Order: sequence, then C-alpha cells, then structure tokens
Amino acid sequence: MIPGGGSQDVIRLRGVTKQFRRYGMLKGMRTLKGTVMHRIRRRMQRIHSPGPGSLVVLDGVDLDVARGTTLAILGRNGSGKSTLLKLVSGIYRPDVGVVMTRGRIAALLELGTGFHPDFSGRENVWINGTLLGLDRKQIAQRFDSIIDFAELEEFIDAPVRTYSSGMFVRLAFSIAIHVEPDILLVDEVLAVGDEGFRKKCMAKVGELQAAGTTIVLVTHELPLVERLATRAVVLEHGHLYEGRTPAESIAHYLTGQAGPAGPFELRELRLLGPAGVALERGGPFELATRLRVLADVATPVLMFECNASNGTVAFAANTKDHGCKLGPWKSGDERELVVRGRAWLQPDLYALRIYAATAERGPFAFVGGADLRVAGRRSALGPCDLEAELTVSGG
Amino acid sequence: MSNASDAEWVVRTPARFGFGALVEHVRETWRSRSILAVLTQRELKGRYSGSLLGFGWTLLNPLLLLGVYSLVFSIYLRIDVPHYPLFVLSGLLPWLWLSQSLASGATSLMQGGMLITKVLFPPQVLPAVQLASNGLHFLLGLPIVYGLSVWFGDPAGWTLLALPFVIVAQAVFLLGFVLALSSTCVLFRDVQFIVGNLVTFWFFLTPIAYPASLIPEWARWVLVVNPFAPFATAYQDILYRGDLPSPRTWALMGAWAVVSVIAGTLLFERVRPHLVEEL
Repeated sequence: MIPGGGSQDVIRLRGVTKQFRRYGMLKGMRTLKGTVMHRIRRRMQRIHSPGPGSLVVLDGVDLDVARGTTLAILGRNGSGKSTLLKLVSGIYRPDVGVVMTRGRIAALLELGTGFHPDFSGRENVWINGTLLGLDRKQIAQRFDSIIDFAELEEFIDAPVRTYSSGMFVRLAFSIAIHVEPDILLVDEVLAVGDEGFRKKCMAKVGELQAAGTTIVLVTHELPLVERLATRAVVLEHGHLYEGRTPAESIAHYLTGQAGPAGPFELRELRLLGPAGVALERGGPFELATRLRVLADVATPVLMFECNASNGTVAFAANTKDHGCKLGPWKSGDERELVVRGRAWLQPDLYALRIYAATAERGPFAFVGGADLRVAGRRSALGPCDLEAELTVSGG
Repeated sequence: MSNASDAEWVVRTPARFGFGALVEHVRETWRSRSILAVLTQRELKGRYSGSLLGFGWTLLNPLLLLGVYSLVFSIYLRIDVPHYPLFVLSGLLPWLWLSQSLASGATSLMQGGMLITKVLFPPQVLPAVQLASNGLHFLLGLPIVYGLSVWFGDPAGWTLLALPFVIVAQAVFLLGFVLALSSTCVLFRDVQFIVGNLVTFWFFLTPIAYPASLIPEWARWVLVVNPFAPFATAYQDILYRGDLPSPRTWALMGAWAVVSVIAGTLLFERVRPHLVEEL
C-alpha cells in the first residue's frame, strides 16, 4: 500500500530540512580558478564540509495538508516560505526528510513563473501546459480560454520578455488555473495586477476552493489570509507554528514580529469589542496594548495606525501630535496604551497596529497589532464612511 | 479535475547519487519526451526566424566547409583520395552535429534558467533539445551525401541499413557529452570557452578531412583515445566506401557511447541539486 493510503492528505512533509550555501562563498567559486583557490584555502585551513557557509532555512519541518485545504504560510522575509513552496512543487529537493505530494501541482512562484523570455506567449502556454501534464488536445481545448482570461489576445505572439509584470502574472495565473490543478501553490503573485484582475482572480480562487483544490498561499497580506485560508502556519527560525485557528496563527505572527521593536516588548494586546465578530459601522472598539520598557528612553512616542485591506492608511495618530508628552521611561517599566474609537469605516478588514519610537521623529518600529472587521456590504470607495447619501430629484 | 486522493504519491527524498540517480534520470527523461518534442520544434522554428536564407544556412555551412577543404586538401596538398568531396562530407556532417551540439548544449542550462528555477522542469531536457535539433539538421543533410555518391557514380548500397545504428550510437555518445558539459558549465562558466577551443583541435585530430591511413604508425594510438574517430570511420565506411564498419569500429563506438552516457549522466545528477541555486 502506498504510504498513508486511505487518508485525504495531498501534501506531506516529514522531517524536512533544507540548507543553502551563503552567497559570499558561491561568489568565489564562480570560475575554475576561484574554485581551485577556494579548495586549496580550505585544505590549508583544514575546514571540511558542510562548511561554515551554510544557512539552515528549514529544520525538520513536518506538515500534513488535507485535500481542499487553503493553507496560508506566514513568516518574515527570508524565513523560508518560498523555499517551502519550492520543496512542495519539487523544484527543490530536501537535504533531509521526505516531501510527498499527490495530484497535479501548478505553482505560481514569484514573477515570471517558468516562462522562457524569448518565446512568445503562445509558445509558453504550450510549454507550460505540457510541463503541467496536459497533452496537445487538452491544451488546444483550453488555449482560447487561457488567453481570454489573461486578457492577452493582442500580445500572445510577442516574446514574453516584452510583457509587463502584470501581463506576466496574468498569463501565469491563467495557465495555472486552467490546468485544473489538484494543488495550487501561490507565492505573493496575487498582489500584482490591477484591481479588476485581482477581483477576477479572487473569484476564480473561490471556485477552485469550492471544487476541492488544495491551495498553499504565501503572502504578507493578512486580510487575504483571513478571507481565504482555512489553515495558517507561521514559519520562524526554520520551524512551523500553528495556532488552533488561522486567527491565532496570525496573532502569533504579528506578536512575533514585535521582536526588533527597539527597547519595547509587547506584553499583552487586547482588542475589546465583539471578539472575532465584525463590528457594525460606527461601532466602538478599544485596543489595549501593554508594553514593557527594556531600556531607558527619554522621549518615547507611541503610534496607532489603522490600515485598510489594500494597504491605504485609514487613520494614524501618535502620542506626540496628540499633545501627550511621554517619558522619561525607565528600564523595566510597564505602560499600557489604550486606543478607543469608533469605526466610521467602510465595510472591510482593517489592520490596527501599534508602533513605538525612542525619539520624537522616529523611526517607528512595529510593536503589535490586531485585525478589525467592519461588517456590511461595501458600496463606496475609500476607507472612510461619511454617511453620505446620494439622492437625485425625480429618481 | 483528476481525483487527487486516487493519484499516487510522488515522493521526493534527498538527492541520490550513483546507480539510483541513473535509473531515475532515465525514467524522468522518458516521461518528459513530449516537452522535449515541443522545445525541439520551437528551437528549429526559432533558430532561423528573421534570417533570409532560413534553413538554407544549415545546408550552406557544410557545403562551404566542403569547398574549402576540397581546395586545401585535394588541390593544394594533393591528398590521394578519390571522390574527395564525398569522403569529407560523410565525416563532416556528423562532426558538425557533434560540434554544434557541444557548443549550444554547454550553455543550454544557463539560457533556460527561468524554466529550471521557477517550475518543475526536468533540466536534462535542455541539453537534449540541442542534441535533437542539431541531429535533425544532420539527418536533413544526409540526402546531400547520398546525392554526391550518386553523382560520383558510386551510390551507397544496402550497407546504408547499418547507418541508423551508427546514428543512434552517436546520439547516445553525444547525450553523455552534452549532459556533462551543460552541468559543469553552470558551475564554471570557463567550460564554454574551453569547449570552443578544444573542438577545433579535436577536429584536426580526427580523420575527417584526411584519411586515417595518412596517420603514421607511431601516432595511431590517437585514433583509439579519440572518441569520435570510430564514428567518423564508421560513417566513411558506410557512406563513402560502401562497406560495413569493422567489428573493431563497432566495439569502439559502443564502448565510447556507453562510457560517455553513464559518466555524463552521473556527473549531471551530481551537479543537479545545485542547479536551482546556481542559476
């Protein structure tokens, strides 16, 4: 019997470790001469492999993903999220451990997913389709639909290197969804493209989810994670963390980011109000943040920021501009910042964030944050709700 | 959609070396034959796009070389070889297959970097594409050789039946070579320049423009260590002399082909785990 026969898992990682050589070392080995010199130097220093230059990106990672799951992988830049996706897609092989997948995998990795720049869009569709396991007939059947979805009718015979990044992503995404993958791997690319195409993609992602496609998503867009993911994991220091719910993982990720926030440590963060449930527009909320001061700070400044899901700042205020002079704070002090307000906001998912600075002019470092959802149907652009009514006489 | 839970698990373990890698390499190449076909087709179409003569260049290049060699060797140096143009061409065409495959095959992985780093792509296909597209050019040039032999009134006969076996042996031999070159070229860019220079030497050390009989006795060992010598001899036997290659020639060809393809594949698989990182 194949490993794990009856279960519904489609991705399995067991003790997967992946390490890379640091680039500095590679550089010396680009040429024959460089390598010979490098070997000699190493021999003389009596250093043996794997050498001091390797960087462990994943360290014994276990992960099971059941069919139909939409899994979000969170983590800081350089934490190994993309490496994990490349391992699942088979582009990388593990150094230790096993990666198992079943079914057809389509991957959208970074920009320019697997296109040959000198080939035309048409040729790349054929090549990619073939790579993804379609035969000639199947590609021919889907061809028009692929071009149509990518909105590339006029450019399909131009070399792909002349495409804009948006066109690149549109074509890549269109191919990936048209091969009807069992597993779809997406790395950040959904952030590219205009609003119209994004909407189309989201609708398509919803269809795929409904059809039982397993999706693995790497993104920094937390609202997207909240909207799509049925599971979320956080990758940090080569290990995976998973909360009981995606929201818990997100919270862990956000507090984990508080690490390098200067001399402040986040002790506690509470969002009062209807926990986990969406707020009515205009409803009251209260964000309470308890900080521990790790070093003496003469003139601390705290900042509160509220961002809409597309990243625009809906509201931001800091203690200094609010006429609230803080400090000096002593190492070991604890302070609580409470932000009370009313969500006069359009329906959307907002990121509430607290930043801190040690000087009046910043720089501000992220301390902690939480998400706030405002309920309702969106009927206007922009983050603010002016309660404006549009009436025309005579109807 | 195929039903994922019915599909078989694809298991990826740390890179294997040695015999296991060899078997997996062959299986993977077989599975990739359709992508090989698509890319080869594209390569043939793309090579001459924008050039006036197009495919004509493929025929013109060996004919120009043929003219120069005939002038220098047959007229200036007065080598005693009857039907000299036929003799040269029967060795020259397979040589061009080799030299062009090595030149473009060496850099093939570097040029196709995007495919290797961004999608699951069997990298051995890229050097194989160069081999295949140049091989097709070679095949299309063969009728010229036959035409020449008819023109000289001495057309090759039933011995032509042995030709496919020689061609397959050469393909296998070349495959090992381009696999080795393309992968080492990713690690050391020097390789492409080394190849360019070495190929020139190699040509003149191989009895293509001159018959092997001109090599003095004491230097005959060059023929044994020169892997292309038995191939050139075999083509000349079949296309020029109308003979079957000697058992010794067959044995040498087979040995070189097997050694080359095994060594080349092993080397390729050894470098392969680093490809994605290096490109």
